[in-house]
Amino acid sequence: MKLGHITGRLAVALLAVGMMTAAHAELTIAYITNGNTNEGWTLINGGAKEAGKKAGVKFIELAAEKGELSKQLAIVEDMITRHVDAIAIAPVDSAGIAPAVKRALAAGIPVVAVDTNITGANVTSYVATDNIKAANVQGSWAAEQIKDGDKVVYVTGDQGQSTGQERKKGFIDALKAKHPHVKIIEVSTTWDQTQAQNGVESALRANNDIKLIACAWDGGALGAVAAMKGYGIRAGEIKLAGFDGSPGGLDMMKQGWQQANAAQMLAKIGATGVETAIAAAKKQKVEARIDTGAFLVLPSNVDKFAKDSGVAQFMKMK
Amino acid sequence: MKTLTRQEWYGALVAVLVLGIFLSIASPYFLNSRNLSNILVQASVIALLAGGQTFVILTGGVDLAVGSLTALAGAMAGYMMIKLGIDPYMAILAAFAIGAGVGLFNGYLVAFVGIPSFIVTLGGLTLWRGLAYDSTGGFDMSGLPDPFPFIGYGELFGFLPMPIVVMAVFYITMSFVLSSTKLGRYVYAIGSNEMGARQVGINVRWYKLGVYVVSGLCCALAALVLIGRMDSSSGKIAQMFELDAIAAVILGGTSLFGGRGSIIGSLLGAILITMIRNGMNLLEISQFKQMMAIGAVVIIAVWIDVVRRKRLLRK
Repeated sequence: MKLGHITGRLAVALLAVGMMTAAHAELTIAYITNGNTNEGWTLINGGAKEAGKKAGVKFIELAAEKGELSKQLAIVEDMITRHVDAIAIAPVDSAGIAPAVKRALAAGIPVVAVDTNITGANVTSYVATDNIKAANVQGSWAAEQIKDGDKVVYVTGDQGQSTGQERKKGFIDALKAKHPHVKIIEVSTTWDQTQAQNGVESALRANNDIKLIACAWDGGALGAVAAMKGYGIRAGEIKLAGFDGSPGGLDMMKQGWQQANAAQMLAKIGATGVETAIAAAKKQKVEARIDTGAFLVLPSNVDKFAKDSGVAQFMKMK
Repeated sequence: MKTLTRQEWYGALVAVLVLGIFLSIASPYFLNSRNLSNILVQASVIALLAGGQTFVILTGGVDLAVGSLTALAGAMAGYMMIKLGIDPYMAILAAFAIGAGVGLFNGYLVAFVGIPSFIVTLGGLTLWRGLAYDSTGGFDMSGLPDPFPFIGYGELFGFLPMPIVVMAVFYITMSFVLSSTKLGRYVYAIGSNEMGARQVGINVRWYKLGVYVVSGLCCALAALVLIGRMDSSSGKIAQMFELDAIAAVILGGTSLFGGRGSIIGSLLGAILITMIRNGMNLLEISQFKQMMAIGAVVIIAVWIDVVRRKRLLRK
């Protein structure tokens, strides 16, 4: 009799707990990164985590160990098993992750690509910097610094990749719109700092009237600075525009080498990615392509930008 | 016939069952047919590599280059199909030829020249990885032709995922080779007493060469399943898979000192490692803690092996 009483109570308690969990049916969002642990990705992941916390959802953060695609595939499969409400993912590989993403979409789980797009699967949304627009900002700034007919060096990224192509196009289009007769000396690289340094050295050797150097990424700007130092050029004698808003780039600005930087909003990429995934989980309509924008960092606002964006924590020049 | 509890793989079986019970309690998402089939699919590539690795380890050697060789075979097959437009079945043959060729190279250096397997395959680890990148120009090749989507994602009879079928057929074949062929018996003999094996007239060099060829062929098979599963291929696939493959063999109760172990243990070992990862994903445990857990499990498994060996020697 007493035992029955206890069992009865237990059943009521369990039922109550069950109802409570049902009432609190909170959303579960899986954020799956590519396993990169560098500064840029620390900022993107930090932004994502913050957004998850702010929205009050159950936030699962998992990463592909050592950037291994098959591990990321397995994680996506496990998250389908886990019945998460949405997935935000920074793919290790644009094409290779597609089979698993297709299965998630088929299971009714919205998938948001963060920073890198996915080819071969129709993702719910793709959240990243619009490279053409960001490079336009860089090119417009450069246009204000020179006269028509001046010589400008542009250090490219990998031209076999969309990111490299878009940044170059964005910069050159904006610059030529104002100065159609500007002479652009191209230094081709595949995102390699040493290639940038060697190329800028050759350009400096062949021309003594270069007014400005612009780079497709901050590593290229580091190479350009090394080349200028080798030629005895002092900081600021030739203007330098970076791209990325990386800690190294902003350090160069604080030292007087860089006069402008088209900064990506790294934390915002992660945050918007997760926010978009949450919105999609709530069955709200989301844009297929979301640009997280770029910010033109100048010596006048570098300290504020570094602090607000979180980049400051990685900088040497405080 | 040894009783169940005396089998080398008994420990692995217990570990799989205990972990399975624990995960069933800890996560409501673990125990369902979909997840269990996922685990087997996810385990397949490591299990195939572990199968070949078992032969090598049984002879007292080790093959550290299996991840890189998998990348080489997979990247080359992908390159031939996507960039050169070669018939997929020819590309499959080429992958096996590459696996066998590299196996011959490793085996020759270990068995005939006498370089320790650790060194030959440590060099191979970066040699074959470099060749995989170099020969394919660092390109990603995606959208593989038939039969790759079927190998990676197809289901036999509409419910049995192909990677599981491949793994099952492979393990049945390998068990047979190890238990009922000359190669199998001699592998144990060489591993437990190489000098003795030579004295009774076993051609130790040729059989040692053979195990590296087996391992190379297993890499090729693993590569075909892996690129099918990813529907793409490149030189960067299968990073650090040697670690998982060796760990699977050791967890399966095969002794790192050679001569003692079983093929079925390696299958259980591969399943165990995959279950640990799957469980940690479902329990939302972060990447760094997962890395620590896998490393710790490997050390504990070798620890048990060393203690067991000492006890055997004392008897």
